[in-house]
Amino acid sequence: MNCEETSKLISQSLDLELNESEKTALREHLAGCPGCAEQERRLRALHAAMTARRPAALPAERVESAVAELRRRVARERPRQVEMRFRVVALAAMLMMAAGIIWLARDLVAARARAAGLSGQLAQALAKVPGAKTPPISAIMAPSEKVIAEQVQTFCATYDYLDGSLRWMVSDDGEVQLGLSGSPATKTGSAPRDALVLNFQYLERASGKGVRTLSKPQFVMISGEEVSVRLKGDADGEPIYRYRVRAERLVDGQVRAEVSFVNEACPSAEVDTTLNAKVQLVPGKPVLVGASGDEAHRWELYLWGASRPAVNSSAAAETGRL
Amino acid sequence: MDELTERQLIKRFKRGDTAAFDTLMTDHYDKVYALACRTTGSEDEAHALAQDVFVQAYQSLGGFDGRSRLATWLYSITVNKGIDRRRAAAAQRKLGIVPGLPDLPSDGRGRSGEDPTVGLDAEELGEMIARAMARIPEDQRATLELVTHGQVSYVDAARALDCSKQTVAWRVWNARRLLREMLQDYLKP
Repeated sequence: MNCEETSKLISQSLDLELNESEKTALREHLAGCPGCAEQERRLRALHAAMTARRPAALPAERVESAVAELRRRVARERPRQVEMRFRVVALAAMLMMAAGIIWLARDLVAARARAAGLSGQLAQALAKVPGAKTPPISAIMAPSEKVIAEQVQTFCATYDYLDGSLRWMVSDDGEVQLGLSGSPATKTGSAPRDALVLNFQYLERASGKGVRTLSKPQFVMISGEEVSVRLKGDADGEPIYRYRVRAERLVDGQVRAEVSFVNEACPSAEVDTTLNAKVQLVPGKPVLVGASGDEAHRWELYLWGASRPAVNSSAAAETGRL
Repeated sequence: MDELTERQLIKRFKRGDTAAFDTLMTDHYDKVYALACRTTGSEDEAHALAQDVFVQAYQSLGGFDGRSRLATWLYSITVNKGIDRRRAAAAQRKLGIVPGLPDLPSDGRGRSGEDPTVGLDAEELGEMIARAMARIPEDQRATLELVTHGQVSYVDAARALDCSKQTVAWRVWNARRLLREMLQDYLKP
């Protein structure tokens, strides 16, 4: 067990979520690793400080008066119950919904089959990573593509040695392609219907230094979910810039995007870049999401994409590799 | 209150006996209030949040499916409503209506090396933790609050937050990692 895995087990041990074999493995690692033992003591101190801050128990009369106040408030409310006169209408609606559910169930069965295939392909792809430990494939098995998307994100964030090398993209014919950087793309199934294909670019203008751009060429995300986008500096020693991007497709077909900046060099430093923008996705046409600075030193963020899952990055299209 | 009694009260409420809700409120109010105190950091805010939680619970208990404990369900409403309140407050701060949170001290206190918590009592450390918590991403903060303060298992937290157990574990781990980094000078091992 390495120190990264130990760090996760320490966190889970504070929440009493470890089984006996995990407890033993953790104990053995801590006994031989002063660094992890130090981290464990600090995290335990943090946990103790957090759980020690228990608010004083409320006196019975305070509870009574709060409940009395609530009673007055809820007396004006009605539990959401169906009135008799609406029941016939509701029954008809339920019958129509049932017909719809039977129709959709056919898609759900197919989606589950694709999800299982996606997990299997991911397992095969990961097995090709030199020196990589066998990942917990069970952790990425999931009943739906939406959950798969979330877990692929979590997986990438959890296993740092794969950072930047795991790719999940959608081709122009709607196929999901999964694999590792430099390895042949693997088609695994159709793209989720609510997939968004986005591009992200950071542009910095500094007088006397010219223009610098850092780009995330293309990535897939599920509408309404949040992904972490990492941009690596273009010189040795440059920091990694990380953004959290949440995007959702609106009913009018436009996409609302929320972008926030995470300062990895100093996570505690607050940067006032939580940007909200409603953008029309036009292939190849970058939309300015936010900008800051002045004439001498200015940065800009651009986001663009396609209104439906679209062609993979040009390099992948030309070489057939991710 | 044992689980069986609680289920019977919920069943009675679903049949239209609104008095059953009184008993449930009385039994759970202090626990929801305690979590709200930690979430908001203020007794007045906690009181308002707890009131909102029970009003929503009253409206939605008819749809409670009983897959998790009632307390877990109430805690998930609490953390979600807490997020809504923080977002509203953040929007007001952006407009300059209310001041932002004070920054972490930069006077070097606690950097003595020998004893990192010199000059920092439990209350001050608590305030530091609250400020640091305000700086970690919402989803991770809410999950950590639910697990640590609500003492909810990862499985129940996953149900309450509509995500996987692995996601809960990762959010809690990452939230603690960020807190540890921000507070490393103040945490006495």
